[in-house]
Amino acid sequence: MIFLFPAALAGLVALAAPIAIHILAKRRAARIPFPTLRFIQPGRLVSVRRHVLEDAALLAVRLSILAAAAMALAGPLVVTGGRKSAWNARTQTAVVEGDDLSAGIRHAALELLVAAPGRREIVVRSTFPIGSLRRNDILAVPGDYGLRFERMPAPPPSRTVELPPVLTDSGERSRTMTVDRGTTVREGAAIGRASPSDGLDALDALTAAVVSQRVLAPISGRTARVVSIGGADVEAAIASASPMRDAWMADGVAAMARDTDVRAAAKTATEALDDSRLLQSPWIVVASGARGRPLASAASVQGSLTVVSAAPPAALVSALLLRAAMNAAGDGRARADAEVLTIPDSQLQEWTRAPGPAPPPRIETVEHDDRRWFWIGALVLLAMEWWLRSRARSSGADARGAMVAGEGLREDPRVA
Amino acid sequence: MIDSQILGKIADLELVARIVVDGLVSGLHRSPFHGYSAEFSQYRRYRPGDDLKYVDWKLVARTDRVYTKQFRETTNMAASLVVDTSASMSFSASAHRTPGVRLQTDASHVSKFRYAQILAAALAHLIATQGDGVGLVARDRFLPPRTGRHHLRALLASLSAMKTAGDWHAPDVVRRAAERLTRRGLLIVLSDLYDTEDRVFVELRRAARMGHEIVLFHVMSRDEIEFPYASDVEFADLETGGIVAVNGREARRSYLDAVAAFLERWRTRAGSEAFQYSLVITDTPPDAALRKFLLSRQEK
Repeated sequence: MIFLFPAALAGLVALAAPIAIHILAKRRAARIPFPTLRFIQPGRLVSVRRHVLEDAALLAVRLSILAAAAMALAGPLVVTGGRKSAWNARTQTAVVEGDDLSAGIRHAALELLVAAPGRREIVVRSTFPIGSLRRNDILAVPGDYGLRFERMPAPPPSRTVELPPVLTDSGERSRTMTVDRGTTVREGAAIGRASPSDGLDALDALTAAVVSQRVLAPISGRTARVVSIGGADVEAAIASASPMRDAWMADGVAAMARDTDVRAAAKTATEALDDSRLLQSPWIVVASGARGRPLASAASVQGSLTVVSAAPPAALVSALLLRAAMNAAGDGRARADAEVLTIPDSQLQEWTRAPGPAPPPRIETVEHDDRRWFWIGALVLLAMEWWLRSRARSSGADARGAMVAGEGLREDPRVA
Repeated sequence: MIDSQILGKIADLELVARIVVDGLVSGLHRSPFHGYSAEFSQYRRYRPGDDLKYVDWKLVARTDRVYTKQFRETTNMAASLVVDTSASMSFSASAHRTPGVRLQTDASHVSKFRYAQILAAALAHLIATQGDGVGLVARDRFLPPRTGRHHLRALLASLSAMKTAGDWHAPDVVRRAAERLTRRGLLIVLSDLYDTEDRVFVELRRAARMGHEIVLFHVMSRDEIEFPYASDVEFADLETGGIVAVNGREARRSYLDAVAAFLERWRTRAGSEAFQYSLVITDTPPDAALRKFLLSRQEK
């Protein structure tokens, strides 16, 4: 038997009341005026008897009445085998869909808490992008709740993924990739490869080398260039340099400064920027050569990201600086958006579990508890108590009458 | 027979007396009260103080036993009603019954005093209608025995106005009643006889020696005799105000023994002195009690 309102069992404390009344209560003796006290022998006073149970059966019945009432208030539910199997035979399912799966699962768990008795299962339908479900969300679901994951919509056996365009010798080229269900595209694979042509001068060779390194096609409006010291462009660039106001330019400069390839190649360069104008605002040093001397500085020159390098065009660091500058002008975000990563099926499989046995019902979930039987029992006990009391009264009177008749006071010759 | 409970509710004592006596006299053919001057009635063993004039000397000569002759009253007789007005007489049975204890008999609610008043009124009425003189003696009042309707009415009014309070100085009242009866008369005492038993008995015996006939109505309530208390009770003495706390069930046995001894004592004393003794219990109809008493007188 379980109780749906166990707190009401605190009412059992009330059982102490009749016991206290029976045992501890000081019964006040009735004061009766009497013609004479000469025949009344003062006896033991009643205080001794106050600690004696006068009528154990009556007390037991009264205690039972209170106990039955307290248990009835506590919402008793007798869990029989039939009830249990009926509960286990049905499964209460909550389906979670939408963008916020974490909140959906928590909400479903709360909903199932007040569902009718039965086994509980949460079905999650989603594409399951990475981050939509975390281990903590799964741990928050009660252990006896089943969990099932359905990928909606189900992914096709194979799909074509669009990749960011790249620059080739013949210009910008868009890319696609066909992958199967189990593959996730993380970044664009190199599908364009420049073939160096004969007779190119150093700069052409440099450009060809850079393009062959999977350089992103620039977004329209963005331009980047690398200028070597010694050219006429340097003075013009210095003259019209301004602080960088575009975010992509700042991001490109930061990426350039962090580029490990650039840093490694720059370390070996012996050249350095001598012009002090290139070492102060709005110019920002993006690469340092041997002994930490500044090798290249960047600034915005007429809306274009311009890198002035002390390295000769044929140096490796020049090519790497060019690649970094061109990638800064390309759409870096396009790679991240190429495809939504999803939680792998193996992880979902690991989280999947069958519903456990039906949990004990709560008061909200039970339509009919057994309290009416307890109330009926209390009423029956009440009738029994009344009967016991009336019987005790009449038997007391009978005993008294029998005593009178037995002693025959009325018939006693001394009295008659 | 009319229930004492109903009679107790009738305020007019004269009416009550008439009701009781009307139910009574039918069937009684002769005066139940004996005088000394008329028709011979019976012999009675001589008691010291009896008039030697009535000793049957021939019988003494024949049998060596001393008897006096008794005669049926034909002349005026003087009777004096002595009524106990002590506080103990105000006890009425069922008014103080313990809750939860049910009595077998549906006893009267009438107090012992009211019952004594009814009995006294009925007796006064009975005696007065026979043309005999009847008087009333209590602690604070004295009406000499006289005949006549006016006197009866005054006596009943006086009886009706009496109240119970404290002690009634029983020996003094009995002595006064005996002394005020100028010639041999009838002394009818209605009391619970609780007060100073021995002295009261001495006074009653003295009155008997003076030649008065003594009739004792021992008025008791059913509760006093049966003690129907089962629970814890504080008994408060109606006269002294003293309190005794006992458990009714435990105290009952000794109480019943003591009361039985008390009643037996009075019965024995009355028998030894040839008093006419009647124990009357307040739940018996007064006319039944009177009838029993009168019939027992006629048999004498």
